[in-house]
Amino acid sequence: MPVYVIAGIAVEYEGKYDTLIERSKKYLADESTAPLITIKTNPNVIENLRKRYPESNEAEYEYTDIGASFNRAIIDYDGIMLHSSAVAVDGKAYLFSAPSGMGKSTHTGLWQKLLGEDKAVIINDDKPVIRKIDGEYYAFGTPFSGKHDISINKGFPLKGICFVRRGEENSIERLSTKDAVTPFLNQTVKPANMDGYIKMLSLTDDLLSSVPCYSLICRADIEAAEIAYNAMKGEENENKSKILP
Amino acid sequence: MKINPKYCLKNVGGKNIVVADSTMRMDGIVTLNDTAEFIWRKIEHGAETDEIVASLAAECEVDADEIKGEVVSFIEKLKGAGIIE
Repeated sequence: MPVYVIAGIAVEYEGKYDTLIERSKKYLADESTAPLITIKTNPNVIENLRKRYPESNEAEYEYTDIGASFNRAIIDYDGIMLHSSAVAVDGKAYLFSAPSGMGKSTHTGLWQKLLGEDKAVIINDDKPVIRKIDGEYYAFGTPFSGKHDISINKGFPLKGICFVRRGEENSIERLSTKDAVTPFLNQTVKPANMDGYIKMLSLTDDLLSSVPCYSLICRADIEAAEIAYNAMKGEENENKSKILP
Repeated sequence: MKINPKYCLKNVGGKNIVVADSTMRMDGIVTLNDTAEFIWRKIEHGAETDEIVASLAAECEVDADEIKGEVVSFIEKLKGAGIIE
C-alpha cells in the first residue's frame, strides 16, 4: 500500500481511482517510511455518498471518503482540518474560512492579484490541515483540496484565521477567542465518537487561544484583500519562523 | 436527577459546548450561556431543583422566587431533550 506524508504524518491508503491517486502523488513518501495511520475505504460512507450525490461518480466518492477519514484520524496527532482557503505570504499562512460558495477562494485569489502569484501562494484551496508541531501551529496543504485541486505539500506557520462574510462595505475586526469558536466549529470535522469530539474541542480551544482570529466583511474587490492583508500581517520586523517540508 | 452520560459539557475558548455521543442526534452546535452552565454543573454535582434555585439566587443576589420559574422551565427542557435523566 502506498505511504504518503501529509501534514507531517505518514499515512497509508490505496486508491482504486485516478482522482485520489493523482492528487496524492506529490505527497508520496520514500519507500522506507513506516505509516502511523492506515486508512481503508468505508463502504457505508460510500453508499451514503452515492445516495446523497447520485450525479457524482465512484472516483469522487472514494476521494471524499478517504479525505474525511484522514481528517478525523489526524485529531489524534494534534491536527485539525478547517474548511478554508489558505494562502502563504512571506513564509506565513493566512486562512480564510466560510461556508461553501461564500467567497473564500475569491478572496485568496484577490491576495494573489494584489501581491502577485509569486508572493502569495495558495497552500490549499479547500481543506488545509492545521497542526501543532513543537508548540507552534502550522497550516499544511493536503491532497484533499476541493474540486480545483490546488495544494502544495508544505507547512507554513499560521499567522491568522479569518472568517469571511459578504457585505456591502469592506471591514475587518479582530475576534476574541470566544467569538471565533462557533464559526470555527462550523467549518471543521465532527468526529464520530465522543472521545474524538472532546479531543477536537481541546485542540480548538488551544488553537483559537494561540492564533489571532478575525472577522472580515467584504465585497469581492481588491480593497478587501488590501485591508485584510494589512490587518493580519502584523509588524514587518517579526522573527521569521521556519517553513516545514 | 443526573446528566445522561451520553452528554458532557466542554469549555472551548470560554464557550460552553454540549458534546453528545455519536448515537445521539444533534443538529448544529449546542452552547450554553453562563447561567445554563451553572445549572448544568450543579446537576453534575448531584443537586436537585430546589438547591439549584437557591444557589443560583444567591449567586445572582436575587430572591429565589424571582428565578424559580425559569430554572424549572430550563430543567424541564433538558429533561425533554433526554439530556437529564
